[in-house]
Amino acid sequence: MSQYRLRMAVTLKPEVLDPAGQATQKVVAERGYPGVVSLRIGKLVDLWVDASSAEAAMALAQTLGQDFLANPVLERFEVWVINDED
Amino acid sequence: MKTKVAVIRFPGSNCDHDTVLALERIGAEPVTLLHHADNLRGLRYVVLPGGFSYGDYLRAGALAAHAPIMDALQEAVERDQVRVLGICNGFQILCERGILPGALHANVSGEFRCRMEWIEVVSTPAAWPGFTPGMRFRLPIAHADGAYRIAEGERKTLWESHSVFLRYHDPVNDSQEYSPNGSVDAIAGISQGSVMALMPHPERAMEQWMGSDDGRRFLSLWLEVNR
Repeated sequence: MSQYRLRMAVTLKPEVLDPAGQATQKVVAERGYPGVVSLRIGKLVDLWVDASSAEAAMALAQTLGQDFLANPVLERFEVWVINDED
Repeated sequence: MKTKVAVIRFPGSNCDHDTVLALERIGAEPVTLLHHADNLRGLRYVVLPGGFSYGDYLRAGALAAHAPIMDALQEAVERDQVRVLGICNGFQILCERGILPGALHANVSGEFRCRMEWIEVVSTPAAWPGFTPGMRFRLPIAHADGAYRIAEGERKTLWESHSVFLRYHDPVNDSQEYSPNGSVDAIAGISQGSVMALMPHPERAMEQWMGSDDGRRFLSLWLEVNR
């Protein structure tokens, strides 16, 4: 058993409206930052998982994302293994 | 004999007490059950009240959807067709649990909306013949995440299966497109089998001084009592 650290990014699907992102982008534009054409806000979930292999840890995280951490109607997620120094 | 109705209280529920009072007012006998209970004590009617649950962290209703009482509720619905009413956060919980299709997303306006709305019955739920198409109710909404969303492929099925129970209605312009939160097809409530849910709060409209007493009519129809 080793411990793996994984990071999951949960983001709204591109077609789903993001009022928080829009409001933030509006203020960014008002403050005069140039060139920001779109801004969308998601969630970042860090997981520390005891598992027999990185693949097993990854499989668990995938299940967790599908069942719980992301809502498949609105969101999608991506998960990757990260090093402790990150 | 009074009909007993379970009212589920999650950490953060804040309309549970109002719901209890409203149910008493229409002649029912409410019984408050806590989120960690593992059974419904054999009760045949259940309300998931509004407010918040578990701080609505992760997503509104997402954590409550995995509470022990929800295992019991899902089993009771599947096995005994126990009658469920989800109000506001209760609607969000039922969608997050997958008992009802779709999801409730942030209001298009980005605002928390708290005001009176008209809602109209679209189709009669099979379990509740008392609700007939065209029937209207004036009820308050109070939510930040009330925009109903469903996968594009499932939207047609939703209509074809008569699961679209309530829509928002704009009496001034008689508009079918009006929605205070940006719900797809202006959907305010869904019904499938023995489960129904809506974003507006019937328990907050029980007397004329509250701005409307249509909640009394709504809850009586849900409970199938003549009042």
